[in-house]
Order: sequence, then structure tokens, then C-alpha cells
Amino acid sequence: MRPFKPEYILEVLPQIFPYTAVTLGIMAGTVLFGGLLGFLLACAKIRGGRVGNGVANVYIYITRCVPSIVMLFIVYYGLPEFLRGIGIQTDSRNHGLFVIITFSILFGAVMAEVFRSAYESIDKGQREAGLCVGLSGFQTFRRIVLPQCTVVILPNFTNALVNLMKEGSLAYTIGLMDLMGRGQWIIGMNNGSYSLEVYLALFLVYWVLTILIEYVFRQIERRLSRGKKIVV
Amino acid sequence: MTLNLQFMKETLASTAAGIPTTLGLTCVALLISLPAGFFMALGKLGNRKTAKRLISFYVSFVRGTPIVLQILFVYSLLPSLLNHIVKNVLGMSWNVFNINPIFYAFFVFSFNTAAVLSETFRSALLTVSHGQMEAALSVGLSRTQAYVRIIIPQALVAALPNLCNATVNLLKSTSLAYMMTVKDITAIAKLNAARGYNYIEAYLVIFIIYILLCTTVQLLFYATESVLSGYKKRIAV
Amino acid sequence: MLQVKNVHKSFGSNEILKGVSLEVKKGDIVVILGPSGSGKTTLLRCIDFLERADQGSILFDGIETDMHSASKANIARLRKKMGFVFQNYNLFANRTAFGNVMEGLAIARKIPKAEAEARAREVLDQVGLSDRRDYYPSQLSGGQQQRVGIARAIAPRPDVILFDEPTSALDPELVGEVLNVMKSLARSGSTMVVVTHEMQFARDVATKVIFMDGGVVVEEGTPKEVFSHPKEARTVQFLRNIMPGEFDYSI
Repeated sequence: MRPFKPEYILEVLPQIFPYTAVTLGIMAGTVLFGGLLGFLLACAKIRGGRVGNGVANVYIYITRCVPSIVMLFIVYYGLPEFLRGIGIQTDSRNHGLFVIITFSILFGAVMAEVFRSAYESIDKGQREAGLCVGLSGFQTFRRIVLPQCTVVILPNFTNALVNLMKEGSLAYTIGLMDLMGRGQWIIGMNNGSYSLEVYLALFLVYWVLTILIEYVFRQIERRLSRGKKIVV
Repeated sequence: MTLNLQFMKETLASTAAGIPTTLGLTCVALLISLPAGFFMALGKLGNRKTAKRLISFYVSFVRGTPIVLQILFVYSLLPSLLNHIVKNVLGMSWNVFNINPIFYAFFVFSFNTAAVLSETFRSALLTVSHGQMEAALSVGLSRTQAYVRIIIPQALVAALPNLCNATVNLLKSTSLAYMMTVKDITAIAKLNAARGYNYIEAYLVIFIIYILLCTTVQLLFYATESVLSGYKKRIAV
Repeated sequence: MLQVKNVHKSFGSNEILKGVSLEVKKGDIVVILGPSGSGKTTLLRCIDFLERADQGSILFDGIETDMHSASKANIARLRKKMGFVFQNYNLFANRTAFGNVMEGLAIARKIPKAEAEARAREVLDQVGLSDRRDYYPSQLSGGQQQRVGIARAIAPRPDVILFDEPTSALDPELVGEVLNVMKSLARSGSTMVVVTHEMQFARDVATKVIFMDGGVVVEEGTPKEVFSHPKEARTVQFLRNIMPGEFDYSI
């Protein structure tokens, strides 16, 4: 067995770490587009009538059943062909775009459920009380319902975000140079040597990122949920 | 864009041969991680500090790192480590590299799912009120009897929806087993895709297979749930 | 028959029981009264080892056991001599009324199945629920659940039955059915220790009333002594608060 060189972990960390920006960038893009999609789906579920509700449900069900990697391959190989069919050329080297599209499709379904359950968790009485004190429908939503929703959404959103980061590491399979991609590239450059050390370095980075994300959002949650504290 | 339907039919036939591998992997990982997860949940609810810390550490690690990384790590570590142990420590000439890679897959997916299930069981056990244990003790049952007869059956029902989720996620994540050269449906589809340059068709086929498999799993869980949770239903009076 | 001596119990820095002693003779109906937080429930729970007392001993049928250091086997042996009725019933949610009664008979005490079933039917009949035998707790009203709770506690024919505020979780209109079951139990010669706020029950049924406050027994005696001629100021204060109008004179 090849000797294990723990010091190589420290050596490789600085080479990997800058690519956190790519990983986080992909996540940001996905949260933006996937979040929007999720919001639309949630709206369709809540007040889309039977058709809207049905379409949203089928969409959510199907995306829930499909492994991220399969979705990634379908988008990466299928979307350019589809676009070519309608006369649009894409550049398959633009990996980030395909990754964001793939994970937005998946993330949207997750967020749709998060939004819907948050909306439904707010007592109807809150809305009625808002209208009764003379707020308009929009004001009631903006000032009363939304802030309470946010508190319910946050823990689930944090969970979805961490999952997104972990699943996002699959993007290296289509050639994206993010944290994972960079690590694989380094292993490739070494002809497969030091793979354990590189993987350990990657474990470290991902683990710390998860803990950080969870910490930050817990702090935000604590800030926002002051009204919910139980007074003893 | 036109789909090559003939190719899709052939791919469907050949990938279907991978279904037993995918399901087998899911079942074995589940069978190993169910008891493991359960005992870890008990450990986390108990009062042994070291055990609690160890379990928390393990769960945090598994939940904090991508499963693909866990797979790659195990697959680059375990075979050569085992080889080293067999050759140099045990002094045997048995060739480790003949081991079916599915055993490494069993290991990774059990390792991963056990952590998820320990959380599922922990929260399920917490939903059973403390009064149930007290009542069991007061009628003279032992602690073990109370767990087996009263607490676990109720916790199981509470855990079922999350158990279903975890199983679906496990089934989906077995699609990464191809990285360990396990011939599951994704691996076969990838092979077909590369051979005929019909990527989209091949992946659409397994897209459909995964939907069917997940639907089956979920239907099984719904059926189990309706059988087990009979005691929760109120009859209209 | 049952005697507990000098029971102490603290939760953190909060001392709930400060040396309580209690004697129960065969056929006694001991009612423990007192304001909330006086330690009545904790005392009962310590006797059944649902809480571990910090100090104290329990004497049952001539055998004395230290309550703090009692072994598992001793606890199991003592528990089988007692029945416990909980404030919030604590019926096994995954068992029918019949199944709830059966656990203590067939499983805990290994009574042969046929005999256990006969006895389970008998006690459910006794609490007036033979027609609800196959119902799950979620399908029963609070009063019915508590009657199953009582059936479950009396089925193994324990030497003493402990009742922890058996009616205080019930809607007012359901209290009567549970008290009636308890009264008929008392008439049939069962030994009972009852923590309750039902003054009428204490007056009519008790052979001995104990008034607790601040973790000690303040006063004890027959219902007549405690209700008509209370000696302690705290007892008077309590009775006046709980039964305004009926208890207007001062010492």
C-alpha cells in the first residue's frame, strides 16, 4: 500500500479552497432560479385551481423520483440537442449554465413544498386579523403573513441548501471546475496518486461549509423568531 | 430533435437487467442501516456522553459531506487497504481485487443511510410520550418488553413517512454506484449511451425506470402505513 | 401492609419532598390532598418508582426496601404488587382496551392466556366497558380511557392501587363516571391511595385523609377530623380556598 501523506492534505487545501467561490456561485444561481420556480409552483399549488395544482404535483413528484446525476446527464446531453432542434446553438463548454439549469429544476420542486407548507402553517386567523384592523390584502401578506412564513421556511431552506451543495458536487461529472472538479483535476494531474489526501481535504472543506451554512442560518432564524419565543 | 425509439427499446431491455442490482443494493443497505440507525438513535437518547458525542460526530460528518465524495474515498481506500491487510498482516495470498465491488457499495450506502435513519428514529422515538414507558413499567413490564411491545411499534409508525423518504433517497443515490463499477441501471445506461452516442435516449429510459421504482417503493410504504397505523384512526361516532 | 418512611426527593435545587411518611393498612382508602406543588404526585410516583427518591424506605408485607438504592429486581417485584392510574391515562396507544389490560397479565405476570383473557373481560365489565373491548384509546372518550386505565391497574389484583389525580384531566361531565367506578372499587374492599382534588370523594369514601403542603404532611386523620376540625392553619386556608362557602368559620 502506498504510504499515506497527511501533510499533503495541507498542501492541497490552498489549491482547492479558491474553488469554493465556484461552488457557492452555482448555489447562488440555483437558489435564485430554483427559488423563483419553486415560488411559482407553490402559487400554482395554492391557487392554481385543479389544473395548476395537478401540473405542479406531477412536476414535483417526477423530479423527486429522479437521481440528480440522471437529471444532470439529461440536461447536459439533451438540452443542447433540443435547442438545436429549434435553431439555437449552445456551447457545451459552458458547464456552469447546465449545472444551474439542472439543479434549478430539482431545487424548484423542493422549494415549492417548503413554500407551500410554510404558507399553510400560518393560521388563517392571522390574515383575517390583518384585514380586520384595516390592512389591505397585500399589506397583510407583506406585514403579517410573510414574516411569519420566513421563520417557518428558514430551517427547511437551510436543509435544502446543504443538500444542494452536496448534490452540486456531482457537477464534476460533466466537467465543471468547482471544489470537487478541482480536486478530481489535481488527482488526475498526479496520475491518481494522493487521491486519499485530496478527498480528505475535500471532506474538510465541504464539512466546514455545511457547518458554517447551518450556523449562519440558525443565527438568522434566532433573530427573526423573537415573536415566537415561549414566555415561561 | 428526434428520439431514436428503436434504441430506446433496446436500452430499456438491457437496463432492466440492472434493476435487481439497484433494488438489491437498496435493500441490503436498508437492512444493515435500519438496526444500526435504531441503536444509534437509542444511544443518542441515552446518557452515555462518549457514545452521544461519537454518534453526533458521525452523523454530522455524513450529513455534512457529499455522498459522491464518500463513495470515491471508500473506493480508493478500501480495496488497497484490504489488500494490504490480507497480504501483509494476515499473510494470505487471496486476491482482494476479485471481490465484487458491490460489497464496497453495500458499505458506503449503509454507512450513509444509517446516519440518516438514526435521526429519523431519534425524532420518532421522541414522539412517543414518556407516559407510555411509565405506564408500561407500572403494569409490570420490563424496560426491554416496554420497548419491544409498546414504544417501538408506535415509533415505527411515526417514522414511516421519513423512512419512505430515506428509502427513496437511498434508491436514487445508488445511481452513483457506477463509480465503483457496480452494474446498476445507471451504469448500463451510461454504457449504452456511450456506445451509440444516444445519450439523451439512454438517460430518458432510466429516468422512466427510476420513476417506476420510486413509485413502487412509495406505494409499498403507503400500504405498510395504512396497515400499521390502524390504531390511530378514529371511527366516526 | 404498606408503609413508606422519610421520603426525600429534589429536582435540582428544588426540594419537593422533605421527609414524608405514610402508612396504608389493608382496605384503607387514603386520600392525599394539598395545593399544587405540595409534592403529592411526586410522593405517589416515588412509591411506584417512576421517580427515584433521594432517600427513604418502603415497607411492603414486612420486607423493607431502601427507595434510593433499590435493585431492578426489587423494583420489579414491588411494582407488581401495585397498580397505578395516571392523570392523563397513558393508555398504550397501539393496543385496544382489551390489549391494554392484557399486557400486565399475560406479558408482565405470565398468567396463562385463557385465564388472563377471562380476567381482562371481567375487569372491563366491572368498569362498564365490555362493549368497548376492541376499541383503541383514540376511539374512546376521556372518561372511558380512564376507566380502561383503572381496569388495567386492577386486573392483576394488586395489593394497593395508586391513583394520581385520576379525574383532573377530564371534562367536568365525565368526572362522575370515573368517580363511580372508584367508589365501587372502594366498597369492594380494595386498598387505594388517591391523590385528588375531589373533596366530596374524600369526604364520602376515604378512611384516612392526608393533607400535604410544601413537601411535608401537615395533618392527617379521618375525613371527619380533617374536614370538620382541622388543627392546622394551613389546612384551614386550603379548605377555605377550595370549598368557599362550605367552610367559613375560623379557628
